[in-house]
Amino acid sequence: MKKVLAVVFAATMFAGNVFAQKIVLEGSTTVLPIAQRAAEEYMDANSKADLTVRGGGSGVGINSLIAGTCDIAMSSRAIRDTEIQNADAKGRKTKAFVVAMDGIAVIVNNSNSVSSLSKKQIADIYTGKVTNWSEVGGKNEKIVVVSRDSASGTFESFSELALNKQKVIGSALMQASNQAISTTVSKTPGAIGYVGIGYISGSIKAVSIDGIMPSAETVLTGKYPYSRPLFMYTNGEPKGQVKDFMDFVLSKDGQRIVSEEGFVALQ
Amino acid sequence: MKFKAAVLQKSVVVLAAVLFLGSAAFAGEVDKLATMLAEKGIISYGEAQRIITETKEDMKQLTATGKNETVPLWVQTLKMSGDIRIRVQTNSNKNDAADTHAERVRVRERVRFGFETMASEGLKAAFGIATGAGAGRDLANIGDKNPTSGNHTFEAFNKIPIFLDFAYLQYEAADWMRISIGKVKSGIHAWMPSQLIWKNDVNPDGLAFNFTRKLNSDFSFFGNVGLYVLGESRKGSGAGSNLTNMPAIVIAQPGIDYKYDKFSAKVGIALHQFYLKDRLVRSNEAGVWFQSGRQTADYTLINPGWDLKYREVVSKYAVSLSGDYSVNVNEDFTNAEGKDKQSYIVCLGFGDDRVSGFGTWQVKGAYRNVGIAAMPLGFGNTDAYSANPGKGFEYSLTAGLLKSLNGVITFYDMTNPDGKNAEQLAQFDLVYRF
Repeated sequence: MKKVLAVVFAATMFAGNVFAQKIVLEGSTTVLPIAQRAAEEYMDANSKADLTVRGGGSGVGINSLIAGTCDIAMSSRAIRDTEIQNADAKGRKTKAFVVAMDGIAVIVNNSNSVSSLSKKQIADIYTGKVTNWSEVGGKNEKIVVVSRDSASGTFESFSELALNKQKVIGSALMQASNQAISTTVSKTPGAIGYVGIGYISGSIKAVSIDGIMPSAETVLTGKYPYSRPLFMYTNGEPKGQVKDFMDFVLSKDGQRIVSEEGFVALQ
Repeated sequence: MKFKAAVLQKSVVVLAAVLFLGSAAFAGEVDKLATMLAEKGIISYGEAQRIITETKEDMKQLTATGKNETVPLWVQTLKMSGDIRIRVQTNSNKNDAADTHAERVRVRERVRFGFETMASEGLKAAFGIATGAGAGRDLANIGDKNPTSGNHTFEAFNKIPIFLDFAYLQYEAADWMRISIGKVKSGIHAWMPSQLIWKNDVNPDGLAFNFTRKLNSDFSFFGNVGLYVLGESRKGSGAGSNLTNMPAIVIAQPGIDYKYDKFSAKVGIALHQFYLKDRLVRSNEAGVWFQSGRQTADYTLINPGWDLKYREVVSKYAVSLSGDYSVNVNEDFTNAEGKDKQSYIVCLGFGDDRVSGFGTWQVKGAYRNVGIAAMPLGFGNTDAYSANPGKGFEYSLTAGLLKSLNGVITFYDMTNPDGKNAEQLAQFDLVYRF
């Protein structure tokens, strides 16, 4: 019997310890690609580091941070007052870090004469209220709406920033990547699409929104309407390896990853 | 270094805002100052954006909690909770040998009030008070500290005695481990899908380790390990007839928690080792919680438990199947019959996932069978056959009346293991939680 007791006791203790030395990042699918690349490069440079990155959405990440099941919450929105209060009730104090800016450019075919749209016009086009370019100052041509698939973080961002979470018209061509949207718009004269600001190229034309052109500067100054900060939250001031990792994300190398993933770097 | 530089930069801007612009206009003025510094090329627009946003987030921390950094943490994190339960309880007891049949109706009240606070980061202090004194007949004897019930029976307009119900310190040593010491709250010592072994009014005294670890988005592991003491140790020549080793219980319980879509399952297997033989336990209400005095046997219980739930089976309603099985494998009971050493309960539930507010409800039905050598006297749910060995059915209906007010009807229909001495217990509860 003593052996049975010892085995059960040891198994209970061991199972709690064996998974103990990990840093877990959880949350926004928008921030996910930055975190994944940063974690890979950080682990390459630090052989003892063990980082796990998983999605689930901003709310899931923040709740996990409050519950203590992740070390860093990724979020494409600022923490809510109720979440701060929940954290406070558990004796935790979340600490916000802006790790990148998210800017979404609305693009059209180079042959399109329209170079400026209002926020309302964009929302009307994507919800199907406006279906012809002539209704927004262009030529008589049917609008071909191109969107990211609903699983993408960019779709989520655009839905919140441009559409106030209204549904995209059912006839929209759903594409799996920024590059696919760019290619589709460049080859379809009546097309309109949206991409991360890092994907603007000569093959397509970015339009101004309410008179503001998308650029790193207008995103960083907050003037461009389709922009927002992307966050990582820690439990209090980060320490140890969590601090080292945050240090890396905010470093020149970390911000290079931000740019390469199509977001706007802070430096 | 980058992190330190960024923090330093932010601090300088914030300090400058305070010095030059005054603290009243703090957050808004940090915006202006950071933007101005960016326009002059002293910091980049990205750094300005970071300073502005992070400062707003820092300020939000203060306004959301309405707290000031100068207020001590234990005041900031003080929480209170509790419940008030009014119960009408009817008992019907047959004694087949004496051919008697007794009936009893009592009106009872239980009040519990708990406090908890973070004494420092990661260290929680908690204590709670509750009514007690069992049947209310021993008001003159405040030593009647029945651990299994907080009920006070209404009698002669007597005042209601209050006891310390639990009091413990809990340290979060890591995200995945908590250590609790003191009179710990029920549930910290072990996960309990039913009240087969532990009644949820019992708050054991000792040291508990709780582990939880999320393995992936569906699976998590949990573990509970603890040592609980039931009395004192007395050694040496001056102790007379009270010589005793310390009576104690060791518990180890590993388990898993699985959630997928609408299905959830929690399964654990607990080992209870009771160190009791030849040791003194001074029960205050003999016959309800241990037999007071020197104990005659150790117990070793192996106890798998489970709680399976499927949500939205019919409309918004969930179905659950939970239970416990326990077998006493201690060598002190080698000669006992197998059925006498076993106990189990199987419970089927249906209704809302949670009872909260008018129109929400749950019904449950269960069958319990407790063998005569299955566990020490007094363990288990004392509402069911006074926690004596027995078998039978139990049913309950919980209905939300208001947001924090529930009505509960519970009915137990039990006999002893031989099917004799039938006992029915019906309870009608009004429970307000805060």
